[in-house]
Amino acid sequence: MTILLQAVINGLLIGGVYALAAMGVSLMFGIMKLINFAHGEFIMLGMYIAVVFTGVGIPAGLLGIYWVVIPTMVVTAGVGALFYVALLDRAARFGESPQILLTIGLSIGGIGLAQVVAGSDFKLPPNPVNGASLALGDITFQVGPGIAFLLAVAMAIWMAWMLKRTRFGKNARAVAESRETAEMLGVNAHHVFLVTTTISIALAGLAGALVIPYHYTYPSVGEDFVVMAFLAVVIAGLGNVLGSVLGGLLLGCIQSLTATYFDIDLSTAAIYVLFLAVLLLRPEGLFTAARRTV
Amino acid sequence: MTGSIVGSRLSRRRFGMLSGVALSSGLLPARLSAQEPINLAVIGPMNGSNAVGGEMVVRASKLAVEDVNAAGGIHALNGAKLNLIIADSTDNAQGAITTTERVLSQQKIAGVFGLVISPLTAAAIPALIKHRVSVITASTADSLVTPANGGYLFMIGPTGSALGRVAVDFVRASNTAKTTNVTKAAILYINNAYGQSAQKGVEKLVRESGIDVVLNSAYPENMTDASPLVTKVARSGADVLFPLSDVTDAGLILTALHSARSKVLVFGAGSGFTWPPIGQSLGEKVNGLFGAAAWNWDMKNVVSDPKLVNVTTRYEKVYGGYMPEQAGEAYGAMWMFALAMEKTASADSEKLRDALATMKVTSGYPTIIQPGLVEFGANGANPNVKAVMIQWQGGKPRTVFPPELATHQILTPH
Repeated sequence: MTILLQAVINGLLIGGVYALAAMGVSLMFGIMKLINFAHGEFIMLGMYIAVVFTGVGIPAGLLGIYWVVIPTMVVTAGVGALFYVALLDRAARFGESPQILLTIGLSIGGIGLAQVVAGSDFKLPPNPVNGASLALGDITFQVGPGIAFLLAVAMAIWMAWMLKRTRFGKNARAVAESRETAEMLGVNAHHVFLVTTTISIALAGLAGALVIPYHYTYPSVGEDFVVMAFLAVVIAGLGNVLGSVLGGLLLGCIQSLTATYFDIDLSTAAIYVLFLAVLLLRPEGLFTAARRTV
Repeated sequence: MTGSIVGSRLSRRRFGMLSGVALSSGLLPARLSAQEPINLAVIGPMNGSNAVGGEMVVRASKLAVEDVNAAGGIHALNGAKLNLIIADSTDNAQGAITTTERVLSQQKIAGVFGLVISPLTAAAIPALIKHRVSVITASTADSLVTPANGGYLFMIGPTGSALGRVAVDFVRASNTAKTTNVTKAAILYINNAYGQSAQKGVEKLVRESGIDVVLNSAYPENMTDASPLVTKVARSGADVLFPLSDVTDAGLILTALHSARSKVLVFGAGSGFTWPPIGQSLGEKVNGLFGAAAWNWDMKNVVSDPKLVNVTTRYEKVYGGYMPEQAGEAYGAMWMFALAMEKTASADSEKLRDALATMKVTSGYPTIIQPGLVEFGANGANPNVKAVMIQWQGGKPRTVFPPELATHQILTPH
């Protein structure tokens, strides 16, 4: 029983990181109908920015390293806004395909650029979170992934409130339903897209800043997380932002339970079996029955 | 008469000139071509999760080429200088194939050092055979040293199974000395050519040592979380763990072990336990960790030779960290190529291949490779080289086993 509980907890904790990554992907798709293939590279960017901030100093105490989270989100939000204004918006004038190709190009180019600018050294600033855990009897909770999980849940709650209660959220949902109708009613779709991209990339930055205490930073690191994010988004239902959080947590649990009781190689297989089953039997996604959030 | 005398003199002069031209016609082109820089290529991943390996071999190769050139170049070729061609294989097999093909097609290459990790090296072999250019590699997969390499691959360091073996030998020695009492072992290995070869060696030797293998599990290269593996190790009841890992996965496994407050003894094998990132990331926590290494900067054969100490010291000064595993092997390999050129007085890649296959080097800079003797067997393996066990002490990996290469005592087991 202890092993089962530990496996589920481990799964939920790693699932929190997948959920954070998936939320940003899902938000952009839900509102802008755009799959951002460079989302992993924005996570990588967030990691590098956070690592640079740690160079300023890490305050004493177990959680001291997390001071970098806010400034990293601010910088990546700025990058996101610039990304929309300078690239996505311009590419949109030529249709959807150039936007998608742009994100693919940015993904490939981003890795190369990171290699040139930051070098190939693996970066993981020494900090007390790496390897730290809390124990409850025989069950341990890893501190780093635990904080990522808690913030993923907090962000999901904020996102639900923001999309349902704020003016921006209502506008965003209107644009997601029908851009033309929303614009006729006076909604500025460009503004909605700008804010959406900014939030999405800030979420990538948040995910990046939360993993640097216990995961190496290197140019291609984003690929490791974004694959799971895309799977979570599809399994949850494309564009279902809150569903993507549940999708990330579900994938984490499947990965952990399969690896613990069978084989870690089978965990990837199990996830793809679920992915295929969803595509074949429930293409709208597992968590879309209640109603799409966006 | 005079004219004839003159004519005779002219004839002799002309004869002399013609003779000179004739004599030099065989030598001059060689001399001219020899004075041109001789290209040696370093091919390896410069991006992706193994880029740190690519970077270290480039650094060490540059250092070796600078040293060869500073010492007057290749004396047998009138001081021809070496020129390093650096190429990014990327981190995947297709990239390794296309990069190797492109590098060997575009210029004359005397020899190659690469490609850091076994799957990339295996992928590049057909191109190397096709262009008849030999590669000296620090890759470790046993499957590389077979007749299938066509005689064009020379593995300067120990094989993957030898790396696994030294870890098991170390545990056995510790058991004999009553330092440990290991009865149940778990093996976790990265699912690539290196991990598979090392796992075979470790499993066989662990069983032969009378230790039960209670867990033997592969894991994927792009793993993002090792906590399920650690839970599995705990479930198995193992008292020793042999993780056979690259860089990122080693970090994840060690972090997960710390988080789970595991008491299992860890004897790692693979780059993940000896390369700088693990020391940088774990900080003080790294001290005490054991790992099997293909080469280490403070082995007895290195520290007992002042000129080799000078190499490792300069590397540390220039690059700001100790000379890591594959860097030492790259440095030795570049000098092997240089010595082969001296021996054959040629930069022809086939002649160099033949020379490498027969050379037995017991002095000079290639002796940076342990135990200070380098030669290659028929399958391309270096039969004399030994894997070593390191233990992190004071933030650096120190050689602690086997006794003939060790320079440090073992500190409290990790």
